[in-house]
Amino acid sequence: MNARSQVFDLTMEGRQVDEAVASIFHTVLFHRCLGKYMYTGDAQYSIGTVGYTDVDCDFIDFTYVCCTSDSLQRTVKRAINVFSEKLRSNEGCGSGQISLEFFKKKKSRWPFTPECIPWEVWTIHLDLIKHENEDERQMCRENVADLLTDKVIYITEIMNRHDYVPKTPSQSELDLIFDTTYPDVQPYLFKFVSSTSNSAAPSMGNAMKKMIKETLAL
Amino acid sequence: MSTQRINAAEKDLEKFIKFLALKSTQVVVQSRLGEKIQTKCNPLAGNDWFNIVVEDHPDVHAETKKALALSPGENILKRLPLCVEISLKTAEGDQMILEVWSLDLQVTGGAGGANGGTQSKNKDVVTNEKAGLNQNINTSQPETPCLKTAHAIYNRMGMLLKSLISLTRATPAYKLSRRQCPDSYSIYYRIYVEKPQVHALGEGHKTVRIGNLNTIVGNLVMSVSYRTKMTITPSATAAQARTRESNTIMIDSNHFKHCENNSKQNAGTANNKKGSAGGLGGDKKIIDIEKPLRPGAFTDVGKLRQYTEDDFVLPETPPFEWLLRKPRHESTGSTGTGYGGSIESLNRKCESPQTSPLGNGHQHNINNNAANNNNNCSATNNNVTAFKSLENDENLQQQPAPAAQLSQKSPNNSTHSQSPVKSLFIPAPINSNLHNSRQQASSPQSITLAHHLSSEDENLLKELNFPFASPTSHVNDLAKFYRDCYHAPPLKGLSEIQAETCSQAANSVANNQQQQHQTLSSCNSKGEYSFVDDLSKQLEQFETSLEDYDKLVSQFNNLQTSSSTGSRSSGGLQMSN
Repeated sequence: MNARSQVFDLTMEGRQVDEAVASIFHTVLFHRCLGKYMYTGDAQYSIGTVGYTDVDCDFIDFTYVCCTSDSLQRTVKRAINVFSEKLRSNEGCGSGQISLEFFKKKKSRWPFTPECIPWEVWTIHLDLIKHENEDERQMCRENVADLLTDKVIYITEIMNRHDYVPKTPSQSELDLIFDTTYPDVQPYLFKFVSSTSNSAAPSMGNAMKKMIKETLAL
Repeated sequence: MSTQRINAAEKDLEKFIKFLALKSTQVVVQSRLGEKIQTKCNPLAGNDWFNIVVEDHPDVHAETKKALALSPGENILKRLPLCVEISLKTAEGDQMILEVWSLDLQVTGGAGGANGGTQSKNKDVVTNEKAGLNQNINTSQPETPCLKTAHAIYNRMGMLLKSLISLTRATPAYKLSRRQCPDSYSIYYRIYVEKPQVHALGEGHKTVRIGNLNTIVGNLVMSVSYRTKMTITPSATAAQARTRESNTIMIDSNHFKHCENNSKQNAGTANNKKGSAGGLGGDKKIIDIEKPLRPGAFTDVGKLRQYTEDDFVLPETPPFEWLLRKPRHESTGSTGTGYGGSIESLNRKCESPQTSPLGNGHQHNINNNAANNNNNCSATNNNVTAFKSLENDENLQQQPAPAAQLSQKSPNNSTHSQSPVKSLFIPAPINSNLHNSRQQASSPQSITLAHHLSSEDENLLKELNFPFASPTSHVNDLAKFYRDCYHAPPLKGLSEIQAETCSQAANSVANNQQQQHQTLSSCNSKGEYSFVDDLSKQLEQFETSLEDYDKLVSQFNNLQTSSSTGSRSSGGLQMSN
């Protein structure tokens, strides 16, 4: 199955990366989070409600909205931090990309792990720049904010299209679609994938090793 | 059967749309209150509509209800182009509409076959809508499947509301609303049922469609139109109210932003800025502390005084400075013109008995007073006269009058209430010795005195400084030599003779003064450090024995009445010493 893919190209300073990525991914996740399902029977369930939180950025003149869920925010923050540190490690002029992938699991036969099928991928491609003076920095602060405004508008546009979204399954198969580990919200299963220009490209050997490891892990 | 089902679905839909409208206004208005919002998740099946926790603000709820003006049983679909207008009003009264959020229902050809009654009404709305909203809606009209199940519609509406929440934080008005302040501007909202009045948003306004839902009753569209050019053109009334010569205030889009970013400028200065931009605050000068002061365009830079670090050190006033005779500096300045440091002071001391009897202190005053006694006091006691003349002395010293001798001849001037004893004791060499201390940069007195030096002197000092010479440099030896030559000490014998005459003169008046003179002369031979110490000790002593002096004064008063002899009063003076 083909996954929908959205790619954003952004150019900014290293210290703005965390907030810019967070504002986009949180906006997406806010739309892709439902209230917790509480099953009363196998087919009957009630849905919890989702609260939202305004988050002000420090290095960008921007405010975004995310779900009021500490655990979700921690997950996102950790993933972005890892990416941002890798990106910023090579003296400010690196580039890289981070993706937020929504996927569903497909049960497979015993020796294999469930297959992950992505159905929507949000990718942010980042180029780092360095500013010479404070004026430029201020300009960039506003430019990046305008850029993010456009992205948020774009995201809402995408979200309100009538595109494919996995159907709500029965209780037994709920965690093939949703990430049920969060106590307060229930996002669709998602993961972060990132790569930077300076990190070694994943070789075929590595991929094979990984595959074998994963298989043996079961 | 099928019509019944359609009616039931329509009823549901109507209910959903009503709550979507109510929640939408809440979201929009609450986002413009200028606060950060946080609502808590409720995993245990809360009752919130669309599974999103949006708190209800009672005012907004009432306003929305009022705008919708739904009578019981009335269909909300008939009232639908519901708009929330967000506007900005400055403290001066200028108003600017920032954005219009609207929830509208467009009836498509295929839909709504069952409700012929509402259709005609909705068609009007659509035509209005097409005229009002711009191309965005007309150009992108994706063919979306008509949602039939209530569940799907409900979820879609939830998505729409989430998008609305996200978007309200992204438009320019959000930043403005977060920075609102009663001193500069406030944000207002207005809810109305009408086609969106986008013409008030100025040129180049943008329209964003947040989302649309194709339902059986029509296409539900949520959109926002917002201003991109943040320039206020003040209304006529506002301009009149302000009664200013300016007609327009151009407010930059980053005007308020700038104020906020600079933490130094608060909202108050934002107003000032605005005022000056409009030609009002011309007389108000804002001094930027960060920038160094620069001379004017045609200033002779050479004439400007260069401030050194020393200028910023406030002179440390010696204790009991108010006791010191101020004009002394001037007199020394005048006598000491052209002389540097020690020579000057020494010379002055020697000269003083002859030339300026007042200039050098207590014993001389006594001396002169004694000499003048016979002339001045016919009716009063000698000592009293002497004392009174001291009072005058002080009087005159406080005035900058240079004619010192006059004071001695006019004892009648003394009527001021200040205790004369306070001024009694200013040993002459204080100031002259202070001149000596000029070379110590740290000495506070030297700074005050430096101002009294003539320009010639100053130049000389500057030359002697050798600013870039290291302490071990040979240039310093040269400087020392030059200085020594220039300030050659006077002959020892001469100063001794002078001192002797001084002391003798003092002895001839009153014996008790001799003691003091000795201390003074010893001070002369000592370094200025010890002298200053002595001085402060003396002052301290006087200050502590103020009571004694007061007693003395009262004693004098008694003496005056009883016409006693001077020996007792002088004894009193001795006691005070």
